[in-house]
Amino acid sequence: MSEVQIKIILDAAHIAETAQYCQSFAAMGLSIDSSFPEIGVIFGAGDPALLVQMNAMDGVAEAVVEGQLHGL
Amino acid sequence: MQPPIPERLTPQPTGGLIVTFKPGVDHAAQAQCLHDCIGPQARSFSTTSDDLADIDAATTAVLLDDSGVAIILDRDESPEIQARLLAADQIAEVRPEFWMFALDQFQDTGAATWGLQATGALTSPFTGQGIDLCVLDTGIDLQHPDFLTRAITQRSFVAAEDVMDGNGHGTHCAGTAAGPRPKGDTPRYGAAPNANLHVGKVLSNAGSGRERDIIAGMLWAINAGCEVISMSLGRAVAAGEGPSPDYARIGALALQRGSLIIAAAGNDSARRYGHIAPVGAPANSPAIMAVAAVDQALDVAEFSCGGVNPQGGEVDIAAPGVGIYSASPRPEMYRILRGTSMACPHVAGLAALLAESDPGLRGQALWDGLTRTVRKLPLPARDVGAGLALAPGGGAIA
Repeated sequence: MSEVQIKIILDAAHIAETAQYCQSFAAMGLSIDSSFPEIGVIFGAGDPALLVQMNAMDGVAEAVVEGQLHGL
Repeated sequence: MQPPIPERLTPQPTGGLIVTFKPGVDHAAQAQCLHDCIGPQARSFSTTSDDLADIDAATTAVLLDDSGVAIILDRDESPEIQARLLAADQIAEVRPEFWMFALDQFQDTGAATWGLQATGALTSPFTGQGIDLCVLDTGIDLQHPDFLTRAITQRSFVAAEDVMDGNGHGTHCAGTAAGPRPKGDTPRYGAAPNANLHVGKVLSNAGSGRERDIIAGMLWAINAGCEVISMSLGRAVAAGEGPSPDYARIGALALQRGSLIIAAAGNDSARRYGHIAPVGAPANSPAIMAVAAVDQALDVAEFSCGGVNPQGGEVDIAAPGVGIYSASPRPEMYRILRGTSMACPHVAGLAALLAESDPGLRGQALWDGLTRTVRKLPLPARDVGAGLALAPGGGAIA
């Protein structure tokens, strides 16, 4: 299965632990692209199966395929 | 290069002619004169009756009884007819007939766009001086003559693309928010011409962008201390879909740091068919101001999304978003666009004016000030929020 671009949003109680979550996700096979510790958001690329695993993790509000926004 | 004044700003002839007879020429002489100049199909109508509706396709001219005025209807041979009329002794003046428009609609003029007139930006004593205003979009044409001498803080977040706008959307939005004072014959189109302009390229030249780049741009603008951040971008959301927590957090962080993020509500409605699409993301975040679009009659635009979703999915304010004239990358120079994308930078520019007017108005206070000083519109809050955004001290009818 080809990789997908993933956005992970930590829940509000775990925003301060963004760096630790980055390490955990990297250990799971996510190639970290960028993280935003101010808001607890991490972007990376990985196997789509990671989405299920991440969404089941404590401290993860949601893990979704990264979207695109468009000029309106 | 286009001429500085677009053709649409000049009077538009219908192809017909307006004839004014000299004083003392009686009705019979007027009718005979018309017959001699244009043939037998001229008809007379009383200015006090309602039979003007009876004008048919065979009619070539209309003589208005008792007024001394005739209207020569549009014909292929109008120049020849005009020459014959000008030679007639009974006639004082022959001039082209022009299209006219209802005065309850705003129009662009040679001085300024209709949006700056309607919002009072044109007459406001404030210009955005000292206010940092960021436009996150497809970049800007830094070599555009209207921005060439402007000090612009810029950065591209799009891989392998510099800030040069290869799309046009970003230059147009930046122009509406902070285009310059009028130069030469170019009408003013920027709401806050003296704002310190920051441009973050977060959408590619194809007009779309990855969320990571957009979030990076938003945080860049907040960390740069921009009081106002304009985002004419987004995505559609489903009915009942709530805001994404990441954009909600950024909006809250911005307000906490004294920044106000303003976003386009979206263009997915088809109101003529009764379909009102929900405000898109990220404008549906509670701490991001959602902007709807209105037209020249201050009616909600056909495409403008509405507040039909809960939890922040409401429209907060409205601004001009139809027939918006602004800058475009060279060689086009200027163009007219429509969309909530065009309404959003109007509000951003007006926010900069309001922020300049009172240093205490930052973040949530700036939000409150904008929504408190609107022109109320006779439309549902679902469609226009608090109402039409206005400039401080602009003299627009509130």
